[in-house]
Amino acid sequence: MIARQSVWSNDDVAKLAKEFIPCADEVWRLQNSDDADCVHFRKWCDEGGTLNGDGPQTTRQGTFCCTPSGIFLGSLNHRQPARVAQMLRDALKKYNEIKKEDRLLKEDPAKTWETINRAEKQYPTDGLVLRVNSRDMPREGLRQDDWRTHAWNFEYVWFRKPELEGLVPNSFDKNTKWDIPDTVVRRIARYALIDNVRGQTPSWSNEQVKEDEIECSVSNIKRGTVYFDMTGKFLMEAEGRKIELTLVGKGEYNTRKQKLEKFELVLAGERTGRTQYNAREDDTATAPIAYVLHIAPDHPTEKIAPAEFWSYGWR
Amino acid sequence: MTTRLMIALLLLLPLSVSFDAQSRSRKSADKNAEKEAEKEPLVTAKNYDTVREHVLPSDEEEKWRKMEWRTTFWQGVMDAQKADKPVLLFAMNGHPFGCT
Repeated sequence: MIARQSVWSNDDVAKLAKEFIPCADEVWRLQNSDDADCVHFRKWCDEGGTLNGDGPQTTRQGTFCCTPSGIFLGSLNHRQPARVAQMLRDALKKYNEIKKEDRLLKEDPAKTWETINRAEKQYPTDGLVLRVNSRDMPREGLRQDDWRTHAWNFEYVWFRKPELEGLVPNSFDKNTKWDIPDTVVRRIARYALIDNVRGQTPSWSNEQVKEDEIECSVSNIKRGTVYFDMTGKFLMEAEGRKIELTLVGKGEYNTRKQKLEKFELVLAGERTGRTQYNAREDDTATAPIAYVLHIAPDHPTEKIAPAEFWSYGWR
Repeated sequence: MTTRLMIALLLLLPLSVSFDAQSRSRKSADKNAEKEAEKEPLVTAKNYDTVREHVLPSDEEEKWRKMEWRTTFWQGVMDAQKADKPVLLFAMNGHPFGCT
């Protein structure tokens, strides 16, 4: 997540990237699946040497350049923008030295796309996509020069339209109160409210969710829009980790368009413990954490499948 | 960063004031009142905007989104084929634009 900011926010790198078609992807699938895009990647990804040590299962995470046809142009795994920029310059020079008929695929790759199995193809266009932002709350004793002090992360939680049944009532008045349906609240508890501030971490199981509720009450009705407030509590606990949160939220439902135009949840509380890859090995004591969930903007980079999408059970 | 530091100070201030107040009140309050004070939620309707601003990423933290990213490798290959350009792939454990 550091490279996301340090490298790709750099003006020189961004300028050079305009000479390429930039794309991002999850590397485990590229290393392990038999889909055509993964086979293509594995043909050339190690030509510059394995980036993170030896062995077939060693992660290939990093930055790579290739021709559409699969001729290797360069690779590295580094957070310094200057080193990435140099790799891009070298790769561009190589690209221009290769004959056009060799650098392009003989067949249209669009045909192959239909055969590729991607979670993103199930993006719930008519459902609800929440972006989950997570960050530690301020506390004393943290070093300002440590990346972990400033770490933040985000995740997405998807809902299909049928799963949203009961999210808002069929009719409203100024005294209307209701609970967010269990299906929605439980998915938020299990997949959104995890300690991923410093790195990926597993979701909670159903049994590990001890308390999860969101209550709503109408605060105003004006020009076809119902404004509502939300309050709630969450408690998730497993061996070696625990999160307890209070929730305050605001929503806006357009009754004319029958559309949820705002659904924003702010949660804060305490986390304890760690998981294998969430970089909390020296920070397991109880400490404050906070989350903001909101409707994801309609932008290509906001349409990434949730990390544990496979466990949603969608077909 | 300055804005974020100011938000952090604003968030720490009530905690510190609350701690002082709790210390003073402990002399006279009973144990139940003490427990209630300790359990005061970190987010309320009053500090909603402050907590929200603290958590949400700044424009600088989101600057990387301004590049014309494709979010799968094969979308990159398809567009590179059309444009006759090289593919630049950023690959991570966990999608780089999701939770990683």
